[in-house]
Amino acid sequence: MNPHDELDRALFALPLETPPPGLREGILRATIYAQPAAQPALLSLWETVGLGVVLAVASWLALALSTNKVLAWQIGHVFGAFGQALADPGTLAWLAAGAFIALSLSVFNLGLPGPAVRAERS
Amino acid sequence: MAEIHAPMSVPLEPQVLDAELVSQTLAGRAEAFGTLVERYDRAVYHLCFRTLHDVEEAKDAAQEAFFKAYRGLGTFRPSAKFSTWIFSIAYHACCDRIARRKRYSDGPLPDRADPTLGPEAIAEHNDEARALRAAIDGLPEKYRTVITLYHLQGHQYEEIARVLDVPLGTVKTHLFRAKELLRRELAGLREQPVSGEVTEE
Repeated sequence: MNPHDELDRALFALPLETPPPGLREGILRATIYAQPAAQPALLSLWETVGLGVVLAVASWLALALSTNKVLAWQIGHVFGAFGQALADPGTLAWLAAGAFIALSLSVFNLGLPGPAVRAERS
Repeated sequence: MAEIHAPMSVPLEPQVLDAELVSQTLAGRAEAFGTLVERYDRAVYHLCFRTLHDVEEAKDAAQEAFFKAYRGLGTFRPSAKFSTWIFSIAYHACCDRIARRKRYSDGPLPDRADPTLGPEAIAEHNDEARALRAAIDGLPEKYRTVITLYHLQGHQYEEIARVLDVPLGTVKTHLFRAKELLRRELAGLREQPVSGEVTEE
């Protein structure tokens, strides 16, 4: 006779632990009844508001230009003057100089240590 | 030798096979997974509780095991046994929790019993069963887990080895030593009713 027969019988007669209330419901909620994860929004709130404003202004402008001839002439005049100013060699030269200075300042750090170096020292 | 069966709440030959329920779940019938949960939630909780000795942690580990199983159902091999698979996931979830406890706590591990005793526990005035539970709790962790899986899966040593990811010989050795420790502890209790800690020789 196996010396563990009696122990085996006692072991298999032992009831399983009683699960705490809500275990099964919790499992089912987390699995088959789980809501699919919400899709991330395509645009943030501010982007949506900004886009709405731009669309509203564009719609108003299109409507106003089609109905008001004077307004259309004035806006055309403003854009024409702006285009002429941009086409001027002097304006273009100043714009190029500004862009070059901005680029130079962003590339050269004037000898100041960067954030990584500062972090290492502290 | 007497024929030994696994506990009543662990189905041995259910009407609809587990593998079929897995296939149905994968085919979109989510309620089939609910049947699997009904079949194994108690056994999985039992394994978690016996391993962790903490009601809330055992509950969380059991939920985690089913959640992982549900998400990874596509990786389940039809030739495998669902019970072995879910026990294995649950066992590893428990191991992770034990490792986390050891990492973040220098003190002794908690041993909080269920404050709300179930009907079985209330009815369990049987001294032998109580003594056996206490003796199992006093076993070293590696033996306690093997005995718990033996309790759940019966004589399927290969399945126990798969759950624990250890060689079959190790399972048999651990099981034999665990039974010897239990037998001696219970024999000692019969002679002297004051319970003592089980020690590994």
